[in-house]
Amino acid sequence: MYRMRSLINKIFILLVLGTIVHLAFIIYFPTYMMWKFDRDIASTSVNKIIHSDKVDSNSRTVIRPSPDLLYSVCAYDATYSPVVITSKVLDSYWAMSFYASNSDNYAIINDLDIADDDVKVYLFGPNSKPTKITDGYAIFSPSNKGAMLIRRFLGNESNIDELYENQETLTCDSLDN
Amino acid sequence: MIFARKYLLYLIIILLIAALETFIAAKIYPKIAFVKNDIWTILPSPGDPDRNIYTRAAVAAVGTFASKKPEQAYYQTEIDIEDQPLNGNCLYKLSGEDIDSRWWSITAYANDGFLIENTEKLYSYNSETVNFNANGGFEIYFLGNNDFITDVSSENWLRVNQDENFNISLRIYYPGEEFFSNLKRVNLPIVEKVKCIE
Repeated sequence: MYRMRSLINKIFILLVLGTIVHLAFIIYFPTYMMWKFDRDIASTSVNKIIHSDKVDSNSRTVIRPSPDLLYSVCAYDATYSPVVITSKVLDSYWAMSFYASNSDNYAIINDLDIADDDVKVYLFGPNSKPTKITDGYAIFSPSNKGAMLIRRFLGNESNIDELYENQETLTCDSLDN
Repeated sequence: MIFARKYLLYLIIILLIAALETFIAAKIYPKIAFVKNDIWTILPSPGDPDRNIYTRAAVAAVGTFASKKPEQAYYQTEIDIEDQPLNGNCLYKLSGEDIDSRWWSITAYANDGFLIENTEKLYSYNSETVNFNANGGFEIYFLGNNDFITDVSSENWLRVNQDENFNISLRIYYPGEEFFSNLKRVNLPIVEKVKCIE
């Protein structure tokens, strides 16, 4: 009887521990994928812009890339200082998306939200002291590290030169610099 | 030594249980979480911060940078209207009507989730590049074999890999809040098999 109870206890403990490992994997897998993206793309370029060309069948950076978009990405680190992002905005679809270290898309600003031709964003980390912003948007990242991704609609590519020029107007830098 | 071996065995059992639970979750989760609209499936909130841990993990495995509502609705299908897998040995016709949104696009992907190599470097059609027919609708053909070209009655066609399965994504940007409360019933294109290699 005692042996039986001991065996059941052991099985129960193993099941609980197995479930904890399973949940840990599920919870941290997105963070691992973001870390992998940072490592592959931006390990030497934190708070620096990386522009992609039009994607094609050789593009392997992200799964299921959209051939209808022209991307730019900044892997940010707001641990010690807010990050400032500036860009010109297009008349066609243009969206700036912010992703936390666990891949959550916690904020998006697109061309319809912005009245001016330019946009300035102050990106604060979770430990930053918020300051009053008068000349741009204040965005609060739930994690110190993450990624900002810009999507520009290529459409029929009649304005593709303008889209490439728009890439060049983008900056992403620590406020301290 | 025997003691260490015993705990190593426990560790292996724990990892096997974790792997089994992950496998079961990967099999069951898509049936629960994905909303089905005829042949198309969609995760209602792929990028939202309040999504559950399984949605977050599933999205990370297949897309990483998913958008939150209402920026984008992202449907995909691996089957035709007869519930058969899409395969490059057959010719398929996708038929639909213009979708009320800022813009939309239809893209063919290989089984590995990447774009399919083709000399035309044409991977998708969007609401600006697709040729609409006289009724305001459109057709896009998917072919993996040049012999099918004579059966293509539209200027819109995309190359897929012969002998391989493929899948199609439908991205709809800014379809409006109402669209997201009606994901199961909104009118979407259909994909039907035209013919296969004999």
